[in-house]
Amino acid sequence: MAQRKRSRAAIALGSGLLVISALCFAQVQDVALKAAYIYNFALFTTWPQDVASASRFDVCATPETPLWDSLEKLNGKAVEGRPWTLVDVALASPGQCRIVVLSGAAPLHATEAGMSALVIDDGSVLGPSAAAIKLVNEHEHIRFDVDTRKASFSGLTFSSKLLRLARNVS
Amino acid sequence: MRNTIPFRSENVVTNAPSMVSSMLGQAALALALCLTTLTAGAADFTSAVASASLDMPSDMDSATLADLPLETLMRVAVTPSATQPALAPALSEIYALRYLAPGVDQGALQDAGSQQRVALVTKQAGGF
Repeated sequence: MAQRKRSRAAIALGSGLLVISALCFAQVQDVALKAAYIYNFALFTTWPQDVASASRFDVCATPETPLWDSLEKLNGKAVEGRPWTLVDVALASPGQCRIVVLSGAAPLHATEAGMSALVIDDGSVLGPSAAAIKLVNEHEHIRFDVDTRKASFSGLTFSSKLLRLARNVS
Repeated sequence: MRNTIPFRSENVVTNAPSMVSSMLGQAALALALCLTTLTAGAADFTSAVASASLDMPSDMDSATLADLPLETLMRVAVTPSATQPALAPALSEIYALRYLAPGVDQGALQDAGSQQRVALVTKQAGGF
C-alpha cells in the first residue's frame, strides 16, 4: 500500500516537473501571455469594497486591440468571486471598468468608464500613459513595470509578491 | 548487561542494491507514463506543452495560461510580438540616414546610387 502511494507520488512529481520544464522552453503568442498576466494582476490587487457588491468583474478594452480575443477567452474566470467579463470601453458606463487595457493600436484616453480602474498598458503605447502597470517585451519574455502612485490615485494597492516580481517599481 | 541491536552488515549490503533498483524502476515508470501522456495528446494542454517543448509556436490559449502562477509565466518565451511598438527598426534607419549617409535626405532618395548607398548603410547599422 505504502509502495503504491510512493509510486503515485513519484508519478505526480515526475509529471509536474516535466510540464514545468517544458514550459521553460515554450513559446506562446505574446497576446495570450499578456492576457494571462493581466488576469494574474487582477488576483494580486486589493480592490475597493464596491467590487464585492458588483455582479461582474468588468475588464474594458477596445475591440481593435490585439489582446481582445485573448482577454475574451478569460470570460467567466473568477476575480474576487466575480466573473471576468470583457466589455467594449466605448459602451461602458461611468465607473463600470475594474481594469482598462490600453493599446497603442487603438489609443484610449481617460474616460469616465475607467475611473478608479486599474489601467494597464499592453506594451504598445508610446510615450507616457496613465497606466499603473506597463507590460514590456524583453528578450522574448514579458516583464512589467509598476507605478504604485498611479494605482493609489485609483485607490488600489498591489501585493508585495507582485511588486517583487516587477522589473521596476516607482 | 546492555541491550544492543545486532548489526548485520550483510543485510545492508544485500538490501541496498535492491532498494536502489526499486527506486530507479519507479522513476523510469513515472517518466514513461509522463512521456506517454504527453505524446498521446490526451488534453489540449499537454499537447500544447509537447509542441512547445519542440520550440514550435504554440496555440496555448490565455485561459490555460491564466491558471499558471506568475513566476511560471515569466519563464515562458513569446513569439514575435503583435503588440510591440515598431519604433526600433525605424529609428535605426533614421540614424543611418541622418548620420551615416550624408547627402541623402530622410526618405527622399533621388537616384539609384543613393538607394544602394542607403541599403549598404542600413545593413551596417543593423547592430544599433
